Amino acid sequence: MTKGNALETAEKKATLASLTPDLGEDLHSSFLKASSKPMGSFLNPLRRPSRLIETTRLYSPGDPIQAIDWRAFARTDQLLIRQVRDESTAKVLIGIDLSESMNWPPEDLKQRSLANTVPKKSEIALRIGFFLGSLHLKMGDEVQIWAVVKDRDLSPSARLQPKSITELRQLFTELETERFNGTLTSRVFHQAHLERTRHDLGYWIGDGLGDADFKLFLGFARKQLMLHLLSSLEADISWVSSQALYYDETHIKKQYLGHTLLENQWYQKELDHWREDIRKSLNHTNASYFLVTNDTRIDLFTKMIFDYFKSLNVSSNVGAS
Amino acid sequence: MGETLGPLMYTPTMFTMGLLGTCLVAGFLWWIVRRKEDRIWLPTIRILPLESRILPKIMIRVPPLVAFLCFLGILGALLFLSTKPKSQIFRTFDPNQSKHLIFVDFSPSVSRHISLEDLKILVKATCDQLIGNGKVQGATSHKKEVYSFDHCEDFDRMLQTLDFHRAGLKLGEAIKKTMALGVDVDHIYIVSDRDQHTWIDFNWNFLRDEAEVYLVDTSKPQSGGGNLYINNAQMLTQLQASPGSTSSEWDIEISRTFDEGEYQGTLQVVYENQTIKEHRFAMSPGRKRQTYRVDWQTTPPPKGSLQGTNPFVVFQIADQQPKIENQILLDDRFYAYYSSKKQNIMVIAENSGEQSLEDPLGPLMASLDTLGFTMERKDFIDQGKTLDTTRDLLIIAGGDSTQAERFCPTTHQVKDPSGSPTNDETPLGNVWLAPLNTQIDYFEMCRCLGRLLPKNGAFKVAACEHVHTRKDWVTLLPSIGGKQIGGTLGTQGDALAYFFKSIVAFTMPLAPQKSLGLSFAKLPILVRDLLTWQGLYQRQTLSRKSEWPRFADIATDLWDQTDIEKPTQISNVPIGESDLNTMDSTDLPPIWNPLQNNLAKTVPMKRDMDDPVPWIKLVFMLLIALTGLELLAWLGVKVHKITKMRLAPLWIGAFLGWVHGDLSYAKVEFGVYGNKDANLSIKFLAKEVSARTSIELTSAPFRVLQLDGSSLTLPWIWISDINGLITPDTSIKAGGEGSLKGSPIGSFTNDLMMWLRRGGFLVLETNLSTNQLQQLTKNLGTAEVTPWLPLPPDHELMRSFYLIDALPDCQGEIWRGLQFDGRLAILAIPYGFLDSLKDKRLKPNCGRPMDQEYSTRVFVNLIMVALATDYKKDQIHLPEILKRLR
Repeated sequence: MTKGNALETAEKKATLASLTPDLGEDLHSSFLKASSKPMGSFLNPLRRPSRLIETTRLYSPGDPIQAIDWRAFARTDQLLIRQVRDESTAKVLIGIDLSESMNWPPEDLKQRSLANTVPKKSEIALRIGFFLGSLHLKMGDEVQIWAVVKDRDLSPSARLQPKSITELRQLFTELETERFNGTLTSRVFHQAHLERTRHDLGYWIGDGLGDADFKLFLGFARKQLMLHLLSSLEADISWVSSQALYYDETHIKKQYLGHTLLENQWYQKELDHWREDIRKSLNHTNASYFLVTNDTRIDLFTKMIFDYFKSLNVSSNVGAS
Repeated sequence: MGETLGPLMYTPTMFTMGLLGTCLVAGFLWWIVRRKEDRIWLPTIRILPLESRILPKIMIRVPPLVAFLCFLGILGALLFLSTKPKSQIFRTFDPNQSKHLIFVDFSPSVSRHISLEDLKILVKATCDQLIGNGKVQGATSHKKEVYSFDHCEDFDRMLQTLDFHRAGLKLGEAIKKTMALGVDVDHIYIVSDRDQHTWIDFNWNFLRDEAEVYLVDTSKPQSGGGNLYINNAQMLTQLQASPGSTSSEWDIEISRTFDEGEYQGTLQVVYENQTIKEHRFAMSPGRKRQTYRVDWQTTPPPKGSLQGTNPFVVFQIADQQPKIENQILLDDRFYAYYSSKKQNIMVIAENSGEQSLEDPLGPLMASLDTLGFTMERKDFIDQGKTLDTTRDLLIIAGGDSTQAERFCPTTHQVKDPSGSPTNDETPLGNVWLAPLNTQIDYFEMCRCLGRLLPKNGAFKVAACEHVHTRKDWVTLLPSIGGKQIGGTLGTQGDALAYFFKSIVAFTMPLAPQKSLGLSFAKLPILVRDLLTWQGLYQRQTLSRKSEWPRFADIATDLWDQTDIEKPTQISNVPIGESDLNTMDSTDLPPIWNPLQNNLAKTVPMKRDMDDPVPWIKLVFMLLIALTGLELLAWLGVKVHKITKMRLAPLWIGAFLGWVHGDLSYAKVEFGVYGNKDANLSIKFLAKEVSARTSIELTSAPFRVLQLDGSSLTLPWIWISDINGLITPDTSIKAGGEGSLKGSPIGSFTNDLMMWLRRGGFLVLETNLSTNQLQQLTKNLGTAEVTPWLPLPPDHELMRSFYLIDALPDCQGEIWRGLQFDGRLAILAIPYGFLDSLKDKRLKPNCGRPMDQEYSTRVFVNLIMVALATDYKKDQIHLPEILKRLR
């Protein structure tokens, strides 16, 4: 086995807990972009019909009539649409939930041996957010990273607007050095008011447990991706001891004994139901949904993001404007 | 005192230690549980629905430690206080284990039933009987003491020194105090009578937890007689007594309990051991109590003194006529304070009228009289004479246009016994100086005060020049050093009086007056309070009423007293004891009779009332039932969860089937008509049939009571009496032809034909001949009916199950059959075939016993034919049958 192979294997085993913006370099692949110009990642299919067509497809109801190639219709009696692939700078919104429930597992749980290796969800969220930001900056897009820093906020109130990849990476290095300390996070993000302007791509990274209205946030963008981030300890509660008491007193004061949660996989079923509900509700707005945890492998995660981009390109329809 | 719990003894001390131990264990458990507490924040709990899909779990929460320990303690205490052994396990007899206490009541009420000697003999007998059974201790009602002895003679010797004591004993307190000495007993024998006063308030049932209580009864049924006693003696006050009387006058109340007849006697008054007065009294018939007034010349004249002992007078009854058996002698004497040594008060006041209401000082004097003072009233002072200083209080009321010299004495008038002027600072003693009324000029009052006060004091008579009104008076008094009495301190107008050492100068008249806020009711109280404050009035020594102590319970009042020489030790008999009431015997303990050597239990010992075991059992049963119910509910929910309601109809169906369903089974039953056995049972036959074949036969055939169309619903009818089938007037037996009921084509014949056509099978037990049978069934005659024929050897009846070569005949008569619709429809058996098969077999009238096995086989074949007719004609089994036949 060569050294490169070994590195590759190690990288495959790496999880999101070690995700950094630097890893995004490998994603700059040709099949994602039509041209090598660093103009942006967002495909603009609404160019006027020209002779320099790239593809032609059959008209489907809803397509703009001016995009129809009438000459071809005269020849063939078929309504054809001419498409030109081009790219433009996309406006990318990345929302990160940093509210109370993301600050889990807490220190006292971490002190237990079972959870001492599990990072907080907020750390993973920041890693993913910076990674995505770096990815889009590299492809020439405008990136805004918003964060929910107050518990009861419905929408993010803090913003980070990196000008360059270098700046983003520098900030990330600081955060990583400080172990994603909450105070530093509030320094990196600045108070701002989220305005209702259209963006091209929207990401939400959060656990969905807080008060933040991620659907509202994602509604600001045309293409939406919900990265549902749970801790691996939340996604799988096999570590739960049956006699201990588990509680959450934030909204409704609830507590359950461990064996109640484990009985008939009650917890797991409810969790699946919940995720399904979120996914279904996002389908109404054409948003995509992925579940990630700190145990998600980086290679699988990047493949997921690749596939998402691919699906964006394939299904980019004319009527989206 | 230990309690018996099964074979165990437990004591409160042991229990307390056990409780402490339990609490420690509980605390340790609490600590363990507390250590195990593990509370972990899991935010995803938010998404879980409330307990709508899962049974609520019993959650073990750590209770607060103190409350938990308190709960445990209360639980233990409740258990300890409420539980009691259901049945006492008596220990094996051990003389040293039984502990007896003999309590001897020496009350006067006992003396009316039994003499002192007899009482001691009774106690000795009781003791003698008990001394062999264990340890005996003794106690008497004289004092709080328990005597331990080894021989009854020791106790008896001690008793010989004792006599009946004063009246007033209540057993409750006496026994309680005796037991409080730490006596360890399990049997208490109370030697007493049934006197109500003695027994009342004694809840002896309470003692049964510790000891059995018995009464050694000294009372005897009384024949005649009764008690005569002095109920009360009261000295008359000065105003009640005759005016001007210098003698002591007393009201004596004498009561009696016996029959109301004329009764006479002498009432003696004894003072200092001398009879100073004898008074004849006669009680009128019909009176139970009567009051007599006795007076005697006071000799020697009592001296007013608050010091020293209080003399008393004794009233006693003597010389009764007629003689009756006076059952308590102690209460013939009555002690009373001879309060002739009363306090003297000199009142100097001008009397403005004869009537008491006209006299401004009338109410004051009445108040003083009620309080027991004697008063000497003067209108004015004889200035030249020496004042008598034996009085305790001088009340001067003046100022009414009279000069001070007229009503006001001076200190010069007081002389020593030797006649020389006294050097006493307060020679006049206690003086009250009050205005006679509200209209007086206070100038003379002021001058009088000047005469009373020491000459060398701060007060100068010259200051009186400007004193004329009450306002001047109350301004003057504090200025010369008077201390305020009454009213708000410092507010002169409110003051009742001002006080100068021994002189009280009032600012208002001592008479009820609305404007002063002094009512007739308040005045005596005010006077009493003032006298008490000055130390002139003591309730016990001055009251004229006979407040000589009556000790209703000497155990309460005297047992704990150490100074037994106090004169109050002499007491009057309590009324409760004098009136000779007795307790109902149902309220008394079981009676122990030492002389008859047996125990007469007049009261059943009810222990089931306080037995908690049934209640504890009930609680546990309820607990178990509730747990079972909860378990059922839990199971139901579990089942519901498993089946998820899809199978609910199935479950309900199963449940309903279980409730309402019955095992489906098929049994062959045939009807029997005319059998003489009312309780026809073919249990053995049915067993045989079911053992040999797959056919189940009912153990008793259905009894057909009347043959008619409605009875032809059964498919198989066995007729033992042919007469039910034929018309009554057509006898067959007499050689007549007989005919079916309803013949020729009547209702029954028609029904019978239809029934046969439907498949009915009729068995007749009859020895009719072929012709007779033919005649009987002629009306059935249609093309389907064949003539009656003997059953041929190849008939299906011979081979339907068993292979039979012949059917049992009866005196030559054989079995015949009537074929209908190609099958055997009516079978005529010439004898009582069924009777030979039933449980209580009868010998058939054929003269020879039938082979039981043979008959059974025939019956099995018959039942096969009845059910399956000639199924073997299908010839499936023919080769096998032929092979067998060969």
